Amino acid sequence: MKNSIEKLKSFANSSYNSAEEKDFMEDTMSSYYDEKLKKKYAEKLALEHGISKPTNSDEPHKPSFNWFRILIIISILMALAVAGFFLNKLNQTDANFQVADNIDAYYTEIDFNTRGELTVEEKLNDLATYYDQKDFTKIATLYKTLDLNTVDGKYLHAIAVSLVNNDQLEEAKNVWGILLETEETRFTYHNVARWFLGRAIIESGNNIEDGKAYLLEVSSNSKHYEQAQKLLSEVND
Amino acid sequence: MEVSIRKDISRFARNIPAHLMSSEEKENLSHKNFGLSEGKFNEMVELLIQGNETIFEKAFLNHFERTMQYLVNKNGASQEVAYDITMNTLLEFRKRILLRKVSYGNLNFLFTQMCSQRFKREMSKKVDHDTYNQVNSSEATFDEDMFVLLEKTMLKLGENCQSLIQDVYYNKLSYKDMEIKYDKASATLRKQKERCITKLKMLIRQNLNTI
Repeated sequence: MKNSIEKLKSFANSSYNSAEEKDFMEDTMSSYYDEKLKKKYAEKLALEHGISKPTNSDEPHKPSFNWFRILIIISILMALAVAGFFLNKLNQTDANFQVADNIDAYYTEIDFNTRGELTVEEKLNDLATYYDQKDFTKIATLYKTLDLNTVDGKYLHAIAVSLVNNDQLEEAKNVWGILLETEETRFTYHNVARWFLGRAIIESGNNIEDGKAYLLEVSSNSKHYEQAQKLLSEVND
Repeated sequence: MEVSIRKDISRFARNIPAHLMSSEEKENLSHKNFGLSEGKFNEMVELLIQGNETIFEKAFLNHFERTMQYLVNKNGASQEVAYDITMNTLLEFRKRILLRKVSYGNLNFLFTQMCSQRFKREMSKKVDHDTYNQVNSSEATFDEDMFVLLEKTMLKLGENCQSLIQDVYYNKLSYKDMEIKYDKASATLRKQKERCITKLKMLIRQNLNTI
C-alpha cells in the first residue's frame, strides 16, 4: 500500500510529459487495464461459460503429487541421459545443428575494441573458432560486424539459430533467407535452411502458407525431410 | 547487392494470400479461425478499435477452455497455470489485433502457439510448478489497493477521458485510427489527452488527501 501511494504521489505531482508521468501511464495504468480486462473476462467466463479460475487444490492427482513428481523427475533424468547419448553420437557425424537448436545462448555484449580493429579475415577466423567451441553467444555478437554475403553456409545457419535462441526471430529469418541464395558453396545447407525457416515462419504464426511452402521444398533425401513432413501434417490438422 | 537481398527477404515476410482463395476455400478457413470468416474477422478488428468487443469476446471466450485443455494435455500445465497463461495470452493477442499485427489465416494455431510459447518461457524462468505459482501470483497480480484507488479515480474522470487514455496508453491505437473513432483531428486529441491527464492527476491528489 505504501509503495502504491508513493507511485500515485509521484505521478500526481509530476509535470506534463515528464518521465514519471510516462512511467506511470505505461506501467501502472497498463497493469490497471490488464487487471480490469482480466476481471471482466473472468466474470464472463464464469457467468456465460461456467469456467472459474481453478486452484491447485482442484488438481485431481494432488494426494500423490510428491511421488508423481519424483517419478517425473526420474523419467526426465533418464530421458536426458538417453538424449545426451544420442546427441553426442549425432555431434560426431553432423554439423552440430542439433546442439545449435537447443543451446541456451543469450546475447552478451563483447567489446571487440579491446582486440583492436579486426580485419575481415580475422573476424571470419574468430567465427570459425566460436563455431568449433559451440559458443553461440559470441557468434550472435560477432555476426553484426560481418558482411553476411562473405560467410559460409554452416556459419550462417549457426548465426540464425543463435538469433532464434536470442528471441531475434525476424533477424534469424533474414539470415536463413540469405542462406537460401543459390550460391554453390551454400547449396548443401539449403534443406537445413528451408526446414528451419519454414518452422520459424509457422511458429511466428502470420505467414503459415509461406512456412509450409518451405517445408514442402525440403528434399526427400534430406535428414530434415521426416521432421518437415511431420510438422506439415500437424499444421494441416 | 544489399538491395537485392532485401528484396529477396521481403519475399519471406509476405502475408497469406487469402484474397486469392475461392469463397469455398475461405469458408473452410473459419474452423481454423475461431469460427470467424475473413469478413467477420475484419469486422471484429474494426469494431475492437472502435471499442466494441462483442465479436472478440464471443469468439475467444468460447475457445478459452479448449486452449486451457491444450496447455494441460500438450504441455502438462496445471489447470491454474493454464488459466493464467490463456488469460494473459488473450490480452496480448487483443493488443496485437488492435495494432493490426494479426492476419487472418490460422488464428487457432497462432493463439495456441503463443500460449505454448508463453508457458515455456514462464516455465524456463521458474524451477517447477510450485515456484511458478508463488512467483506468478506475486508478479502478475496487480496491487489490489492500487486497483481500487484507480478504479475510484477513473470513474470520476468521465467516459471520454477514460476511453482516450486507454486508447493512447494501453490499446496504443494510432492517431489515424483515433481520428476516425473520435471524429476529431489528432492535434485536438493530443490537447484533450493533456487535459485528461491533468484532470487525472488532480483527482488522484484529491483521493490521496482523503486516505
